[in-house]
Amino acid sequence: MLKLLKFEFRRMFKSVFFWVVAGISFVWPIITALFYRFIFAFTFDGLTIDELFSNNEIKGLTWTIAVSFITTLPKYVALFTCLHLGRDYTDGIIRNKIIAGHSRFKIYGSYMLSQMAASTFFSVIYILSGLLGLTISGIGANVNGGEMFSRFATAIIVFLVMTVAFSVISLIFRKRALPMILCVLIALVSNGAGSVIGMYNTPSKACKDYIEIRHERYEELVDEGVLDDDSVEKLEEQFDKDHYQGTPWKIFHPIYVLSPLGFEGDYGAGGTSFLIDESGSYKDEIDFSSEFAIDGDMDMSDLVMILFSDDLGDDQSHITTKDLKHVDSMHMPFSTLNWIYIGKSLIWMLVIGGWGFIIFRKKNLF
Amino acid sequence: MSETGEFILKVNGVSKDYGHFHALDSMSFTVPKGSIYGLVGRNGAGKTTVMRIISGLQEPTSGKVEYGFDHKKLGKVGALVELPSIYSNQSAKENLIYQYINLGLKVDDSIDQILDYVGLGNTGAKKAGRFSLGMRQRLGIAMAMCGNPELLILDEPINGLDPQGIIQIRDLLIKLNQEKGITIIISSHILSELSKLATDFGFVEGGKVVKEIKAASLEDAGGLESLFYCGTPELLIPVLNAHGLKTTFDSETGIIQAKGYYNLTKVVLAANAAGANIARVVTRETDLETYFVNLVGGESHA
Repeated sequence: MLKLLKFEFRRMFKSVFFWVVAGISFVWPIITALFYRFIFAFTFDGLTIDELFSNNEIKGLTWTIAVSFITTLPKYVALFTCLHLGRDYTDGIIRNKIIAGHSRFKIYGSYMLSQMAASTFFSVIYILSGLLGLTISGIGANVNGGEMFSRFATAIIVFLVMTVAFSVISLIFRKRALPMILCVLIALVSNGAGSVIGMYNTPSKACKDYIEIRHERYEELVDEGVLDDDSVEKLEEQFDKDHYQGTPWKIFHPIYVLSPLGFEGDYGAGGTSFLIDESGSYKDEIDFSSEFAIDGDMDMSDLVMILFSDDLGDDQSHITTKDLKHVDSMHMPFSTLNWIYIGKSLIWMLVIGGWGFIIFRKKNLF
Repeated sequence: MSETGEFILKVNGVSKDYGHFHALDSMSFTVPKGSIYGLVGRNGAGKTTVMRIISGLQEPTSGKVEYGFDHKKLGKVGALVELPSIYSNQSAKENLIYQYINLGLKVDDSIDQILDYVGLGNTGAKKAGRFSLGMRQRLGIAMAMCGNPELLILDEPINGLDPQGIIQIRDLLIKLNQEKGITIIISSHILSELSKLATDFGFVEGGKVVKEIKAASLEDAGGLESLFYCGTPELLIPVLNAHGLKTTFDSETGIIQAKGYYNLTKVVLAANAAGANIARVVTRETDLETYFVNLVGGESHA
């Protein structure tokens, strides 16, 4: 296997496209960081960086710019993988390896490992370049005392699932055009699907707990004379479990649970575009309560407006996220989530890679 | 078998099915060590399929291939099956470096020696994709030579080459066999070329080897046959035998049948000196192609 890996790495380092993708990984986050610096300098002329960004916002910005490789790089990696592995088919090099006496398992394994190493390399370049870009832009990088690196590692492992999929597709189709089209499509579709599926991350338990807590709140409101029993009955019928977790949730939540596709949504890694609308923020945990309750951090005027509007205060319970602060099912620390995503990603790599090997093992290679 | 009886490869009852199509039907043959074994057969007879199986590219449906050496050791089998497997965007030297790494060999000056050996020592940085077909074939053979293989499998290595290219490849293969002791299994449609090269032949028909024969025996079985019409056979036969010809005499027709090659002038002068009177000589040469057609019947499509 080591001989084959040496072979693959030599080829890789001599590949023009490898260095093109590495160049994109280096340049793109720097441009993004400088772009934000320029936008803010232009919009808020005269304000210093300290006045523009809080420490937490800089953390959020650091995370968002550096982790956006997970949405930026897949299409380039898809092309690189297909071109790189496809050449071994078209030039017949796989045959050379088999004739030389290497087993198909080792050949397949060397392709997988080398492509995964390449993706890791691109991701690390991207992350470091993002930090460099923020530093040279004057905004500064804040990696939350190093904790952010564990999330970066998780993001890389999630990204490797896609790399494994690209490699499998490149190895099971002999022609070069079809895998390229398929892989680029997968890269683009998974970006969109990732942001959608991440919206359906709320656990069923959180919904059940919220309905129970809200019921208790209704009882208090009945006691206070704010609501009567009839209106409570109507509200509970209207705002039942299906209201929060209806058909889309029933479709997408299992996908969210079983796949790593929700990463973008959970970790706020869906590209840098959202930074235009709001400053980045960096949290320690996912707060599912925001799905049900009013934001407890709002100031009083905002709160009053919402409570009397027809939006979030619809269920009339006036429960805020602060009220749900100590409900376990409403929160999941990212330290736990990292392990969940790592576990899911490893399983998917094994499943996709194993399926690919079953096909590759019997594939006609001449 | 070689003179010592050693074999490099034994194909024992190997069959290969593609659905209902039987590409190989319990094929068996033995390749002697140090030989150049020519596989002769029509298109679709099963030559390429068996070569793929021997080189490990395919698994047989049944039967087994027995190797007379440690074939699992990297690089002990070299093969050029159909097209040469080379990186077209790399130079000849870079291709060999990749093959060395593939085989776990130390990259050293021996790469240049191999390139010189196959006549590609002066190609420099020229990309293999810009090579002529003959150069690509020679590079393919060079790749197959890396690691000093015990067995070289070559499927149609002179296909599409010009006469100069054919001569170069033939000379190279003879050199490899004689100087490096590499056993070669080769198939070719150009039977006249194969007959100049091979020491042993296996005739393939309908997924089987129907006949195995040594080149020397092929000459005996075929070769040049001369019919001497002579009134004094008792005088002529010793002359012919003295010139290395095997003779048989048909007393009914009075014709002497002689097998083997000879110098006609020398034979005629010797016969004259012996007092033998030759009325007429009719010659008939049985080459590899004729032998093949006689063996399998029909037209030659080998």
